[in-house]
Amino acid sequence: MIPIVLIVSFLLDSIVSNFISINSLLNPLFTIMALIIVFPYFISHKSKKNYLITCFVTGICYDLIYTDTLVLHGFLFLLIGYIIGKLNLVLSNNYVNVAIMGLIVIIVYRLVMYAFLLVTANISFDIFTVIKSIYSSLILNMLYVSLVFLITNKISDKLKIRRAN
Amino acid sequence: MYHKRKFDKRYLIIIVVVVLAILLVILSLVLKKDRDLSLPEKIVKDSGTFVVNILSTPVNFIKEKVRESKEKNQIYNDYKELDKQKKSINRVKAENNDLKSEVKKLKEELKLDTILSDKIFTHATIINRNIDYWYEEVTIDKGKKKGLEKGMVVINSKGVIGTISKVSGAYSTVKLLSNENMRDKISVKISTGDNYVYGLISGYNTKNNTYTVEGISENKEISKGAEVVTTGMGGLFPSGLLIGKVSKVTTDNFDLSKVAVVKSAVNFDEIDYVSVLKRKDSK
Repeated sequence: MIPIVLIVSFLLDSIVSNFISINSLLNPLFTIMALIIVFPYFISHKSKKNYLITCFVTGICYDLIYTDTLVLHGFLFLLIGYIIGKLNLVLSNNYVNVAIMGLIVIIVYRLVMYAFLLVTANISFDIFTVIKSIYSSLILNMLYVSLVFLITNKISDKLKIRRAN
Repeated sequence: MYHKRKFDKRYLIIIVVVVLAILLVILSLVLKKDRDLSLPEKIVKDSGTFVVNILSTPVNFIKEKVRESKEKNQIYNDYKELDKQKKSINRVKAENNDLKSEVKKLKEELKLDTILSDKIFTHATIINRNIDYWYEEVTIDKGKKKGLEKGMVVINSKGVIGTISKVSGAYSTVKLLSNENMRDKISVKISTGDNYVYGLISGYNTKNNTYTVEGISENKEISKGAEVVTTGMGGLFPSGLLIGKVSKVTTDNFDLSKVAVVKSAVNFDEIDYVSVLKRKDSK
């Protein structure tokens, strides 16, 4: 379940962005959303460390194939994995809560990424660019994370795959 | 009695600060836009992009069909427009032939092998464009194997798009002119009737799809709609590549030189097919 969700989301990130206009309110961040979905499957095996390693490796792959900014997304995804772990301590797994986690993760991802780029790459942009990047990512990704949660739940129940609640 | 030593929180803060500082140093090194890809990076990028490309094929096919039907309508409108312009074609052809022979003669006279407008084309398709780096860079399906090199100019049917910033075996990354952080200033000339005024592109506005051209010192009248093309100076861009058309002319903060706002000829939201070109004199 874990590799399928991660790989499909990773590939969809590129495919979807090919036919969605940059100025639309539907910016895909499916790989990050997949990190929320796969978390309970790791925790059912008591392997939070493996989850964080998976986050880091996924980030590195994202850097290598999509952005050429090696290690930036590696560390960002690691941070997001840590935050997802903390959020799962206070939020149970249901459709609404995964959407809320998606919202928080998108905000953190955008803010931290722009902060890093501002400090390290000397890129100039205003706060409105950051705000726009946040709200333009919300609709599609919150829908995606809820939909994938629904699908993976059905499959896990049918195939009796263990996951934390 | 054994007392377990408590971990001092101050150490934790120091460790966090040191790790963060190291991370920032690493990132500022890897985020340099003009760095070369290492061999493992090239291999992973090539194979990863290949897989993504294959999986995108059905989606791209549908996208292409939709685009084709839109283009058919556009072609019909263009046809009607061209039909009107047909009468002047013979005159332009004659002028073109005349100019070509004149250039040839002048080259022979001056014993020049190449001139600034000489260029060779390689066609490519955009296969990957990340939403976070939309106005920064795109990946094309041609690389070192097809003779592409860092710094080569990329254009489409409308005008200049950017330059190649990274090359792997089968793919290349193109740094777009729309990159807001454009540090490589590009020399351009603006048509003022029979003559040109010269300036430098210093920035791009993503909202309006416009460039800012600064350093226009000559006090000549620049009309709205005047064509802006590359000069060929600086070695990177051959001359005569269309950048856009002047939409507004203002002066700089000190009222010393003119600043032109140039509407880009290329719509950076819709780039699919491109041509990579190099000057005939480049090795």
